[in-house]
Amino acid sequence: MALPAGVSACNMCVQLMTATTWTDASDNMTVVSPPAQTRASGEAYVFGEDTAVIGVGKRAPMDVTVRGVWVAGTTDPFYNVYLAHTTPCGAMVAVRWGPDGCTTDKDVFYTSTTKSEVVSLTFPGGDAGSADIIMYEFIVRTPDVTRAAWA
Amino acid sequence: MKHNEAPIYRVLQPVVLSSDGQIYLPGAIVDLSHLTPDIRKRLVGRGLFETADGEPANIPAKLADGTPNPEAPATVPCSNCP
Repeated sequence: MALPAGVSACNMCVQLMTATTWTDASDNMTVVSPPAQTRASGEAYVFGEDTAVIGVGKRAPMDVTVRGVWVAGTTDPFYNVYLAHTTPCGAMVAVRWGPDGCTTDKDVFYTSTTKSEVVSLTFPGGDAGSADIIMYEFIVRTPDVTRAAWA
Repeated sequence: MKHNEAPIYRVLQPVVLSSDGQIYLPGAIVDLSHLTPDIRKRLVGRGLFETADGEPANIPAKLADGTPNPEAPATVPCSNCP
């Protein structure tokens, strides 16, 4: 049996949508934490059996964490995320990422294009004793993530 | 027009077109002319699209006066026509 080829994040791409157009942000982003989605479940036990009775419910919202390299100015993706986050009652920032790249034949995952809210934004900061690159991070909460294919 | 002359396809699974970067959901009719025939064939093979260039065949022929004929049977376009 042949081993699967496997995919690293070497060619991964990240895109953001704050209005209706997707913009590639791969040159700024460093991490998209794999989101997990849970489904509510319940359990009960009866005297006559040793295992549980299981019930299942709805799928919970997902949090997608994205980290990027901060650059001063208003053309950096941070600025658009900041604007969306500081908009009263929030504004949408959808995230789309292709683990193996954003080219034909590859798969891509995207948060809802109608409800993707920035629920946390870590501003850029620094430490005088560090030479680390200054980063920022934001968390997008969305009802679901959809898989699509590039064509 | 013969089938497969126009690279028009119906989306069967969510796709992102590299020509405009937009997301298209199942049922949408898209133009894949930006892709080579080999790539289009492969994407059809993956179940992402089906040919839709026979789409007019689904429309019943019109009556002599040009009005739609509700009685005309709809024909289904062939799939994966050569």
